[in-house]
Formats: sequence, C-alpha cells, structure tokens
Amino acid sequence: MSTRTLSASSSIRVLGAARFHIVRSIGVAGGLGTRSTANKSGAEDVGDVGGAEETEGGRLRMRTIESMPFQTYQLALDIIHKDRQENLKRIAKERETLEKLIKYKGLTHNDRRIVSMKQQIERWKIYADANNPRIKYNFDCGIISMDKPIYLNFLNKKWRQRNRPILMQRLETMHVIPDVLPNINPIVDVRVHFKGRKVQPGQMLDSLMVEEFPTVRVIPFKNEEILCTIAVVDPDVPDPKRDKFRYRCHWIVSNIPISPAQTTAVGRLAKPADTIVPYLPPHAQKGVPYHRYAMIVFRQPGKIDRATLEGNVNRDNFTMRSFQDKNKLCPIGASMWRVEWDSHTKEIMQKHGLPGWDTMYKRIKDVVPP
Amino acid sequence: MAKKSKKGSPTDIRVKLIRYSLYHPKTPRPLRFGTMRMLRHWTIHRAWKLYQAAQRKEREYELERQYNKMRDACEELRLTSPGLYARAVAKSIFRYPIVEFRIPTDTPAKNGWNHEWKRG
Repeated sequence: MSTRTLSASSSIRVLGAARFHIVRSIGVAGGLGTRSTANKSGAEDVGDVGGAEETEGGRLRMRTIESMPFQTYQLALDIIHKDRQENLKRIAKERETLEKLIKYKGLTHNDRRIVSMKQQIERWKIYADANNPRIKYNFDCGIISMDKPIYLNFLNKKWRQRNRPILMQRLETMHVIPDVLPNINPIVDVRVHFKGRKVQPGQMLDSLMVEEFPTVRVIPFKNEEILCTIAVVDPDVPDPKRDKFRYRCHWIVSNIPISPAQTTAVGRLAKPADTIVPYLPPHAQKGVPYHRYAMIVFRQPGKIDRATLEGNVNRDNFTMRSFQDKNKLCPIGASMWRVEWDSHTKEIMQKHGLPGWDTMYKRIKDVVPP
Repeated sequence: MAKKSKKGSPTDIRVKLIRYSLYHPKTPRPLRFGTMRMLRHWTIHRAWKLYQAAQRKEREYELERQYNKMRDACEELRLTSPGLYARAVAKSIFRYPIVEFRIPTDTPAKNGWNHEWKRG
C-alpha cells in the first residue's frame, strides 16, 4: 500500500502567511491519507473505509475524495499522482539551476533568463495541481486560497469563460470602447458594488444608488503587488452650444495597492490611497438620453506624486486618452454602468450644488435641408 | 445568432438534424451528475488526457530517435563511400511499395527460389 497524498501545496517553499478557511485540512507530505484496501461495496460514509485516520483529538477523519472506492477513479488518481511527482521534481531541479545561476554566474533577478525560468516554474506549479480533484472540489465549493497560483488560475479561467466576454460585449455594444479608450484588454476582474449591491456591466442604476462612491474590488490573477489608478468618466455630458457631447471626469483614485491578498481597491477593507478627484455623483438631466459611466482601472508604473496629478487634471473636458498618456498608465480592467434622469435626480443635484438642476433638454428634430 | 426565421420560411437543415438526433426515441436521456460523480468524471477525464499525452510524447520521441539514427547512418555512409551514398539517397524508381517483393531477412529462405512463380 503506497502512502500517497494529494496535497494542495504546489510550492515547496511556503508562500506567504495567508491562512485560508477550509473544511478539511489539506496536508503537505506527512503520511496523511493512507490508502488501505478499498471497500468495494461503494459505500462512502462507512466508518472504516480506507482513508479514515486518527487525528490528535482521536476523531476519525474521512478523506472521501482520495479514497472513493471506484476502480477507474483510483487508477486515475495513480496516474495523476505520478504526474504530480514528476512535475515537483522538475520544479525542484529548475529551482536548483536558478540558485546556482544566481550564485555562480552573478545573474540578477531582472535578467531575461532568470525571469523566463521563474515564469516556467510558475507554469509547472499550475500543471502539478491542475488535475487534483481535491483542489477542484475546493474551488467549486468556494474554498479558495488566494496565495496559491492554482486557485488564481481557476479563477482566471472562470472569469474568462463568462464574465469577461459579457463585459467586453457591453463595452463594445454601448460604444464605450471607441469613445473612452480605443481598445482595452481586461486582465483583472473588476467588481463594483453601489450601496452593497453588485452592479452588472452596463446596468441602468438609480440616482440614489450612485450618490456615494462605490466599493470597488479588483482581483488580479498574478501573485504580485501592483499600484492601481481608478478613473470614472462620463462621455455623455451634453454641450448644446457646440451641439456635441463632452467628457467629464467623476472620480480618480491613485496609488491603490492591489494584490491577490488585497483585492478591495476602494471600500471598507481597502488600504489608504490618494483621491485625486473627489467623487461626483452621476447626474443625468431631464430630456437627455441615459449617460454612460465608464470606470477604467489602470496599472501605474510606480508611485505617482499626488500634487502633480491634481494639477494636471481638468474635470470638464477630461480625456481618458491624454490622462493615460501623460501618466504612462496601462489599462488592465474596466466596468461601466448607466444613469438616467429619475425622480431623485433633482434633489441630488440641488444637494450637491450641481448647475443645471433646473434645465430640461428637448430634442430638436433634425431639419431636412430644402 | 440570426436564428429568427419568418413564419413560412423553412428551418435550417442543420437545426433540423440536431433536433432529429436529440429527440430521437433511441437517444439516451441527458445525464445529470451529483457533485462526487462529476468530480470522478472530471478526474478520470484529466487522467486519461494525461495518459494519452504521455503516450503521444513517447511515440514522438521514438520517431525522433529513429530519424536521428537514420540521419547519422547516412552521414557515416557519405563519409565512407560516396558512390553507395549517392545510390542510397537517390530517388527510387518505385513509386509504391511492391506487394510481391520478398522482405529482407538475415538468413536465406528454407524453400529457396520459386522458379515456377507466375503473377495472378
């Protein structure tokens, strides 16, 4: 009987201190989950089925996933286990070569070769755990440990399967993408919550709901810390004098530290960041069609000085493209919502002293030239 | 997805075929798995794919080794005897493998040469 564990730790070096809440503790190689003669009757919750073991408290602990008595399944587990061992060996060997290179050849961590070796190690870590049924079960139940790359990989895949295409479709259908930015490739999952309620991209919202700034969650899928900037722009401010629409900036927050462990950008659990432009409630005047509001999450190359940024930004006539170019930002995520005139808009505009609360627009039908 | 058809225009033949096979009385009903059943299915699928990938890789490596040996042998021949090398490397006059050819063997045949052999 081989002692074989399917442990979730794909890195031999312990990553970070983030403890995760789990139902069953996932062991690192230490003799847990001994396989005994499988109970062929198929019963999964019979007391002494292989896999039950004593813990310190003397309680029996079931490891159903590792010990389910189905022959093909157990053979599959064998194959997966062998593959995992090979992967771990590969990772260990590569790590050794990496350390030797750094020590004897004096290469730095920024060297091309070192960087590519590290990327390869990350990929192999994911391969090692990608076939583990326990990890799949954990992920499906919502038991996610944000410091393990395999869970980030699963999250990424899930996001890219449904929510990201929906976001891109909404951005393009509402023409936010050609208007606000020429193109965007979202890499992070951006979730916006107004007054605790989740906002779907492109959703029409009530003026009361958007009166205060939202809680923004930015979920990156790589285990590195980055600094982010969030900017909200309204591309539909009517300008009757020029018979056009203008852009207006509603909110900019900079120098937000984001990592898989720290996913809240703005909100209760967020780390302190610099508000460059304070939040202005979205207001659509009567008679105007709905306003679109685009939130773009940028990645900053480094820490940006607050004073310089504040001086450069003009609230009206704010162009996202020039903001991005001036500060060398890279767009990594987006979200959007829409706001219409409704019964509460007037009070909100009066409360915040926004001009135009008493203006109503009326569309002049296009006059056909004679 | 422009699937909307006006009343009167015929449905797409592909849609018709899909519906035919889907609702045929002999088609098995769609399976709905519980969590553990689905997990086992997923695990077995992943393991099978791993196994197949390993087999494929093994085949590819074997082919690569064979090719390398052939190339090295040809190189040896080229250095040893240019005449033989030219004949070995030249294009064969035979376009297809000939069924009636005898297979090269290490030792001669027990029955020898059949002088009475006729085609047909």
